[in-house]
Amino acid sequence: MNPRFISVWFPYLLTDWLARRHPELAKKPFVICDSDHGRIFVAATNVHAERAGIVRGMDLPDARALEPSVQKIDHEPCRAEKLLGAMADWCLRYTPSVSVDPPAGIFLDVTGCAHLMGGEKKLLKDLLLRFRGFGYETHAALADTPGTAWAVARYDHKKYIIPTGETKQALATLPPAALRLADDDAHTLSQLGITTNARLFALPRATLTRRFGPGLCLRLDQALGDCRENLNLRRPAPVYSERLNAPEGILTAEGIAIALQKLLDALCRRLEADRKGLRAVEFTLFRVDGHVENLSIGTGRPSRKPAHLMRLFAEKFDKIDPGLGLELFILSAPHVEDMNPAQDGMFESEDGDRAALGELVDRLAARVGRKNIYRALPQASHLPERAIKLTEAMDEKPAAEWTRPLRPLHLLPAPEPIDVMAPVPDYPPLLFRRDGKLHRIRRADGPERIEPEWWIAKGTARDYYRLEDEDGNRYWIYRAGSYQPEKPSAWFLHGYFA
Amino acid sequence: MLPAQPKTTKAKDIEYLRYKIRQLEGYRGISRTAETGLEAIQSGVTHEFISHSPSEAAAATGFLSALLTRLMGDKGAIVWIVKTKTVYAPGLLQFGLAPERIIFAHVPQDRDALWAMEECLRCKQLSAVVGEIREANLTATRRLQLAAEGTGATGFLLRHNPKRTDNTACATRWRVRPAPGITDHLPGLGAPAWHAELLRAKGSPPGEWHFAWQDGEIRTVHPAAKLQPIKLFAVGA
Repeated sequence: MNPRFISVWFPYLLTDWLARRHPELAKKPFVICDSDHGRIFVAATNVHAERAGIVRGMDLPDARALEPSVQKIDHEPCRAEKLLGAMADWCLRYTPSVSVDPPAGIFLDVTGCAHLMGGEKKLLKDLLLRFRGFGYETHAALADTPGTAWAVARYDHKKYIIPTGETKQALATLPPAALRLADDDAHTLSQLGITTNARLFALPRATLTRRFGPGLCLRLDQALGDCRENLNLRRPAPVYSERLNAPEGILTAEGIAIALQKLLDALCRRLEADRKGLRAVEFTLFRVDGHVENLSIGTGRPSRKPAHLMRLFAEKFDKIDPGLGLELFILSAPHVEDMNPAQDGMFESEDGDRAALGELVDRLAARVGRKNIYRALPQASHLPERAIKLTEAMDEKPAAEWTRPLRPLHLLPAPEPIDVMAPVPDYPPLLFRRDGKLHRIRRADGPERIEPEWWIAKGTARDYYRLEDEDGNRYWIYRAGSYQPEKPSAWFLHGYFA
Repeated sequence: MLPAQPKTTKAKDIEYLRYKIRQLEGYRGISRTAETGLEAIQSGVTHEFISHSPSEAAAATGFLSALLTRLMGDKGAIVWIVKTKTVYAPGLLQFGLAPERIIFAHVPQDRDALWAMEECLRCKQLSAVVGEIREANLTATRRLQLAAEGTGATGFLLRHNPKRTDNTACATRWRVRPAPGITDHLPGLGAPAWHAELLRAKGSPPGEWHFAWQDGEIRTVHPAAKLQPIKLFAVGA
């Protein structure tokens, strides 16, 4: 299939955005100003300011001299990037392969996508009308290469679609700057009298490379399609993706559920045919007003059961704000793993059990977060805090054996300092005070010395005692460091025995 | 298992109907002559444990771990919904529970924890579900009870410092306090022991028992003798 690309260009990206948010600005000349070493200059202008002769890079006083009523608005760093990112995400409705083209453009790889919108002409018209409807001055072109689309969108206001194979003719009449050259190179070429690409194409490549370096010829090749240009895609295009148009605009949770059910059924049928199961699903909802909502869920084991996935999504339905209506739904599975068809015969029950448990864990994780569902496995360490390893994997087998010294059933997250009276070195305490309450010890076991792991962190050895007070409460306390006659020892409560 | 003979026919009928309802609810009740009280802890229903101090919470957890071992043996998975991450997995080994069988879910909010517990009780593949939930009213516990009836899973609620202890739909309510360990006149802490109070049980009278965890099983014991203070080795003695 012939590759086809769209380049979209927003000549007044930032000012249009401001005018959209503050409608009172729309009819006035205003500029966005940035400062550099105390010099305030114009970073972006709107149409009215441009008509008055203000251009980018001009000092603010010069701009004020040209148009005294011009309004100054401070520049927000990264605003353009964020805006373009959101616009690119919105463009996912046309194709999964979208890339941002800073400072003010977007590339869409629409290879094999145009028929979904009823042809290239309709697709481009839809895109332009919608962006213009949002209030952005928009230019766009569709061509065989991103370079040509870029050039036509910016320099040729008569053409929109360059048919396959007419790339060179389309570029020939445009100036060399349309090939995305460095400013110096474009300037030099114009000084040399090379005002159109037709003249540039006639020049020998070797001469051009010697004079301008390899960059110019690369741009030339990219525009002509002799060298493939890799776009930096917004997100990797998922292989498994389904879409559903809703011309009426869906508002209710039931409507969304029906749409999701249809998409899940279609996706799971495809997965079943390919013997795959999904680990993550992304549900993208496009609102009529251009807002894009995203829901995503994950599963612990590969799954292709629509009912199970539906239940995971059901937890998140209340987060959707349908606004004035939802017009397009896209369901994609970015993470897919091999999955054998359901086993029959003797292993069915065990496999089914594990699958059912996995589904339960998915449901819990969808509500409370996957990191909050864990298992405790042994880890080779004597320090109580490090003797267990919390894992989110449900199939993981212990890598070490459980060691079996007596350990408390409740371990405090951090040891609590306590006041202790212990008579002689290395004898268990006689009493301790915690929160003002005195506990008299009747029975004790210990000490059990646990040395710090010097290869990980510094610390002192701990002498642990198991104590029982007169009420039968059982504690696990320790003395930090060994006994020193000249200074009092620090004691801590670390846990409770059952 | 049939309740003792009531006096009049009407009372007899009511008692019999109550018995039938309990049976429908999956709870068989215990005989009036039950010696241990452990008979009250049956599978397929929910039980609650109330504690009012950290030591009591640990004692209730220990008693519960011992019960889990008694009820489930070493088969099946358990979901343990924790409010804070205080349950220390190696401590469960003492009571015969393999920590890797347990799936922990850290859910601080009671509302979410009740939802999670119900969801777990509806899963046939689990043998037991433990939930550290502070407040649970009649409606919430009835939902849990219905879920447990459907699958035959057993639910345990560990309620630490509850504000309200009014009626719930749980089959039994226990309060477990730590009791001096059983040492058999040997030095050291000895076997863990508890003073367990059955505060409420469907179809059986309340009671109090002393239990201890000895030789890998839970046993009824007589309360340990009055404790002597620690004897220090006096120099020259």
